[in-house]
Amino acid sequence: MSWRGLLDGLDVRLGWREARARAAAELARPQPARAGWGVALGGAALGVLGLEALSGLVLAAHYRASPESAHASVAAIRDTVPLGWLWLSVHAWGTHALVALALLQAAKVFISGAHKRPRELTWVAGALVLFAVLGLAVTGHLLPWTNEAFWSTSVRLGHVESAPLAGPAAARLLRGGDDVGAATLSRFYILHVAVLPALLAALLALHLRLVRRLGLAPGVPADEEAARGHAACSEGGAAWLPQLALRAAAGAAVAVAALLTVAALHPPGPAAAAGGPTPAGLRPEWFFLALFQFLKLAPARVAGLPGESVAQLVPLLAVAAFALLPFLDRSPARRLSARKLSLAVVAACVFAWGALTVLGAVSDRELRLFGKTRAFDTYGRPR
Amino acid sequence: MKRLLLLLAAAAATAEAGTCTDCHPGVEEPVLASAHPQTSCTDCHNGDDTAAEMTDAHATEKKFIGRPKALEWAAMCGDCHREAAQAWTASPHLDALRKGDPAGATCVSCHAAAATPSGHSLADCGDAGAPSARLQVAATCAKCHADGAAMARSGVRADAVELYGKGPHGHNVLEEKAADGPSCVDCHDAHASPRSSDPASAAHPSRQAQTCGRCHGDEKVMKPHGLSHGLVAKYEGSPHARGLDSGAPSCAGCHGPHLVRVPPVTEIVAHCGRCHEGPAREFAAGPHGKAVRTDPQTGEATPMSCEDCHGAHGARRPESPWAARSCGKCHAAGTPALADGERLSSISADTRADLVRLHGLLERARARGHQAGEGCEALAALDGAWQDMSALAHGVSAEAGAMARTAFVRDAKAVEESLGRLVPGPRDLRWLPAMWAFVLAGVVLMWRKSRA
Amino acid sequence: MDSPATRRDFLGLALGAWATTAAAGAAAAAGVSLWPREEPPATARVGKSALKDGRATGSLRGVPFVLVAAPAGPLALSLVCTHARCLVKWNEGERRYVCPCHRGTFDAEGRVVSGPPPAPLKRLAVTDAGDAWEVTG
Repeated sequence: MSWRGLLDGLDVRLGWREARARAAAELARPQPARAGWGVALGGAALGVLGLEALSGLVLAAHYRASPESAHASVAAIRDTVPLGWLWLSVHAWGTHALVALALLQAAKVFISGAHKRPRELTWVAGALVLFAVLGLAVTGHLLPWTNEAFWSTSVRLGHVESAPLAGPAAARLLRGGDDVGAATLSRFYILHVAVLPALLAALLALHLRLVRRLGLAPGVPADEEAARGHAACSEGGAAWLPQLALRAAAGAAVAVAALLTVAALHPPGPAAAAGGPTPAGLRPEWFFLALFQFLKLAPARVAGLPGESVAQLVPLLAVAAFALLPFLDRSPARRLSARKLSLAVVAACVFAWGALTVLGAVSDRELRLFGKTRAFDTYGRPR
Repeated sequence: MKRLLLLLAAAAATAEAGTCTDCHPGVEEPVLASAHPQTSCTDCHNGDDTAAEMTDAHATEKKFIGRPKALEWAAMCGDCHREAAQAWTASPHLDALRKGDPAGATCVSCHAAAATPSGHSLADCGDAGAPSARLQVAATCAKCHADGAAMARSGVRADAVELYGKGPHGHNVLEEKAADGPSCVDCHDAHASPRSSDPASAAHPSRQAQTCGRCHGDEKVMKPHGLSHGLVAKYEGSPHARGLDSGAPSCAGCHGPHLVRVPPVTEIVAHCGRCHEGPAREFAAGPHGKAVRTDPQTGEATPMSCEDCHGAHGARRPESPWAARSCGKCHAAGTPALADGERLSSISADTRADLVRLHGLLERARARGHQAGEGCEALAALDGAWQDMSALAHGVSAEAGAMARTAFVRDAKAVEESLGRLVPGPRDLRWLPAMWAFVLAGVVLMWRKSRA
Repeated sequence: MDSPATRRDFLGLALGAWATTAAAGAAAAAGVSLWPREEPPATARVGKSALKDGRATGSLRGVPFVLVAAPAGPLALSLVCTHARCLVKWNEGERRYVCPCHRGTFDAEGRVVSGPPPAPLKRLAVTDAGDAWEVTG
């Protein structure tokens, strides 16, 4: 059978030529003229994600998920595997890069109003991708089995336990028992290398499929009404293939290079293995600092109910509101001047998040700021 | 004169009180002569010393107890002598009494003369005739502690007092009646009398240096006996003092606890060899084991011993390079023997330096989270090889030392390589600029292509 | 180079080469990290008193071997079958090493007698270390 015959035979069975033609048509559709280099941001996130996958693959080939050997296997990756230190560093720094890029992407989308009809699901899928990344950050943090990771996981699962309704069951299921131990490590490992990546891949596929199908959002049109509906894509700009894809690829290349640079200049050092006492000054990653600081404010009991469980309603609702933003912010207006209310609400939320993050970062610390040493209490107030 | 007055006053008090002496003649005098002349009969026996009839005086409703039982003494004496009684309640003597062993000593066992019914002649230890007086202590303790059967019941040696008597301490006290010799209670507290295995005991190995040092570290005490007062301090700086927890000898480990003698030079190698097996074996088999020194003045011949290079109390490795310092005592410069010593000395110094470096490397690998099992095992083998080498050095053969060193160097190199892999040096970052050039070239290409 | 078509072709080729280089670089970096390190030769000691009926077993990096004190000198054989790496077992009655997986058999010196094994059992170097044999491989 000739090569051609083989492809024909496959096409009869799979119908790949039709699928390719449809995709090509969608990708060749001119995108709104305002779609310039903004796609580089999404490309950067994709590039970093790809590097996370590759480095994760290398790390998983050397990592051993058991309390006895996890810490030593990570030490071996760092010190004896050729380039192991770089993969390890890239993988850890990549988390921060991914979360930061996803948040920037969300800000860009919100400001341009690109989350609005008909692209609500694009936003929701993107938000879920971010949640999967956060899940990967939390599960991956435990894997080196350092004392710090052990105790921060213990604390995190303690918060999960206080979550309303399903909290205790979820915490027990995640921990595989009453305390963080070998079962927790196995569970976090399988979540980190199989469950969450699969989920992330599916959500990302949905997100990208929606971007391809619905196209990029048009800019603020002269006539707001004209921007409604599927057919509203103002034509005349570049197409996905090849222009926008190349810009995204350029973004990915620069992001990967930047990540490699940071990772190479700031590789992780040795850290004590789990088994020690709870370290002082336990603090989550920057993107969880606001949550960390907010939960400190919860009193022991509120109206006869466990205070923490009640307090958790606030971040839980905020997270739900973030994921479902397009359904809350329903006005079709894209021009910023026509969206004063939603802008004000989101700005207030972002300010609260930022303020809590700063308070969380300085709380229980002595810092040298503006040439003066200042001490801050648990609530981040200067002492 | 004063004593006489006291006696008279006391006699008056007892006479007034009464009637006990009517039936118990001869008890009054010892009490009056004792350290407690003013004590009345009822102080110890209860009952009523004013009663006219014996039955009234001995009535149980008057709480008459007759002769105080062994355990009752401490309660009674302890009313005033609190510290002593308190110490005694923790002593093995009380343990023995509780187990029903009559040999368990109570207050009167040591504080009363045996001639009268015990307790009536309580005497202060300052009183030369008292059983607890310094010159009498050995005899007092020996009443029980030389009794093989009694001691066997408590698992205590019965030859301690005998050995003490034969040694210089016992000789000073018992024969010379010297004022500064130690008695039993100088090392074994008089009232708590803890076993020497009890860390609270002044005779416990961990406290021997301190206890012996009270006299042996004091120039004023040692000088009249012609002894050095610096030996305890030397011992305290020795590896033995640091290794007490792992069974290294304290003072008694070499001198014996009760006999306290200076071990004769002919016994030293065998004695050290009880722990330092390899070195003692190699030494005995080597030329030094057969060497004899003759004193040029007296003509007295003495064999060489461990002390010649290591010192007795300091018990140190000779400091490197030790050839001139140690070998040079007997071997003249330029002789082949001294040259061999120099070679062995430098082999020893190099090997120790290698081990220090390798252990440092292992520590660093451990601190980085590596279990370093292989390297650790190989290093333990090297430590063992070093033990063998240092044992071998006592046979003073430079050839054997050089051969062992060659094998050591080969193995040490392998260990250094295996551990060194776990402690990487600075990372090579020269690829970073090249990567950026490549990426920027790609970005330019993409930009051009997207505009084409 | 002047016509737009030529330039597009050149740019496309250059980009293709660039992307291939980038992918190859990433793959090479991952490959370098994934490739197992050469293991240095290991040595196992078999005490001479541990020999039973002139045979003793030991292991090198977890892989078992047998040491046979033959009159001609000691012989150490890896017990890994050369066919599919199962562990062969000594059968005293037949005086053969028999592989349980595909019935490969080897004689007492490790030579193939029957079955699919393509090569004799691997011989390991043995040195005399006084009261023990040292097996290296």
